[in-house]
Amino acid sequence: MTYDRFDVLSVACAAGLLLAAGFVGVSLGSPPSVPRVSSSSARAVISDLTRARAALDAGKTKKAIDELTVFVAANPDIAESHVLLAKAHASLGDYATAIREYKAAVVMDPEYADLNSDKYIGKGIKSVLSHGWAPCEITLTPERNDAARAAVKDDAAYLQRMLAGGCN
Amino acid sequence: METQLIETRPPSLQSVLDDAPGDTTTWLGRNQDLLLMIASGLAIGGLGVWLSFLGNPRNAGICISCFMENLAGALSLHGNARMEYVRPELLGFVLGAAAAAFLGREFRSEGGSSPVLRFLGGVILMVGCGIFMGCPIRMALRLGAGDFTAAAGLVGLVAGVWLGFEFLKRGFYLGEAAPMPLINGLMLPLLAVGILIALLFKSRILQFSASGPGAERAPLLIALGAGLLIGALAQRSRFCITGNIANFLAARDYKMASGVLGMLGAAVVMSLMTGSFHPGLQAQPGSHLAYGWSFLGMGLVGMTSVMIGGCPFRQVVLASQGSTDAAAAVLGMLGGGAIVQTWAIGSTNVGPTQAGEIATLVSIAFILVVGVLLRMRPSEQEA
Repeated sequence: MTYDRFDVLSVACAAGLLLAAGFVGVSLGSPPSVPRVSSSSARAVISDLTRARAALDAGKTKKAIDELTVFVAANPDIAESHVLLAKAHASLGDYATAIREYKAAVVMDPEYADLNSDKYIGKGIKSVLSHGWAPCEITLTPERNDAARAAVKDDAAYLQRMLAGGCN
Repeated sequence: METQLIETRPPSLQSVLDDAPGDTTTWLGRNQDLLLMIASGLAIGGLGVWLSFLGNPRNAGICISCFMENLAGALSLHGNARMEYVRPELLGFVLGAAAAAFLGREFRSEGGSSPVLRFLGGVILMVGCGIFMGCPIRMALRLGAGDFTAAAGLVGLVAGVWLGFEFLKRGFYLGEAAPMPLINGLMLPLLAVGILIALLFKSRILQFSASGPGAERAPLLIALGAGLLIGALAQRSRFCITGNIANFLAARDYKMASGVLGMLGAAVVMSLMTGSFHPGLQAQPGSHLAYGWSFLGMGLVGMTSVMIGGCPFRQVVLASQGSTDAAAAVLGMLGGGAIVQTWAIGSTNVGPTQAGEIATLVSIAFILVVGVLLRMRPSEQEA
């Protein structure tokens, strides 16, 4: 069988792509270990979240943020804690952090952005996005922190896409 | 139409360039193929938007890859509870195309042309669609609704079709299909009938999403009717997005491009009529902003589609009219739908996943190698 330049080019491209896939694979690393959750620790999680929610409802926003920040550091994968943090930050006018926390929650649990779900919190997210965008820009502009502003914009754009629905 | 092209291409190109002969004595007869092609495009574009208006996910009223992932979920082939539903449209495509093929005496049970490679081709189509977030039809619906992020996919699709076409021109050939006993060709339509019965009676063998895209549904009978109509029209017209693009690239055949243009036009008009036209890059449903990966994903779909003889939708139609080779590709798409969900290959609104990026690169490499290995050199063609 004879091979021509087209064959060589195709095989070279294939080899290059496999190499690139290898690099992506190496950067993937090992999957994160999933901690085992005992019933006692689950009860503690519920208790902590209930306490933080109660503080938020009582208007003790700073206290709720403190409790939730400690809680999230220990339990980063619980979406509801991010929702509560977002609500707390939004009530203080810190819309950039609220947007970041809402994004974290929706990435973990898309049901929060699903109109058909009981968990839907789109109204709160939309409120932060619509009312919060101008203050968010003002907050970030004096510091000239373009990277931070770009990150907030990316997060806001993600939330907008999620709220728009579609198949994803 | 492109008699010259058809005669000088390897046999596998026939399926890309084939055309329905018509009665040439009347204007309607002479233009039957063109009218059917336009009607198919209008039906897919118009009904695609309308189905979204009636309840299907936004900008995804018709999407073969989404439907396959939904079907795989409904059959418990993956564990994403948000993607479980037997889309009646998909069953309609199969049954409508099969009925049209029988009525038009075009139902031919045949196969045996590299079925395993076609099965893998089906899996790879789902990988490409997963990275882009939609099949070529959904790409058109997204563009029609003003989602300009899909433009990268369109450019990628055309580039992929061009590359696939280069392989065909250089002798890529999957082998000849041979006639088979009728039951082989009937298997897919019969399977569709069985699943439709299970759907109508809400059988326990099927899963139904309570939330997420799988819970967004157009009324069952309307969805089924739309699927039947589109399936029948597409069978008669040989509608195929990648085939149309390949024809245009090969012969500058504007007639063949009319189907795709009709689909895009109908999608724009219906989107405007239903209030779902939102031009821009932001807040687009079921999209991401990783344009490079959208390009590669649709490029992979374009190249693979041309090499296995049709886009994902065309594979469904071909399988419905008796091609067991296309049925292998369709089953590959079903398996691919499960794999894409289980291995997190499909992109999300955040963007492509690392697993998806690896799968895309490896799939393109695989298709290139297969393309080289299955080229028939001039000496072999003469023999």
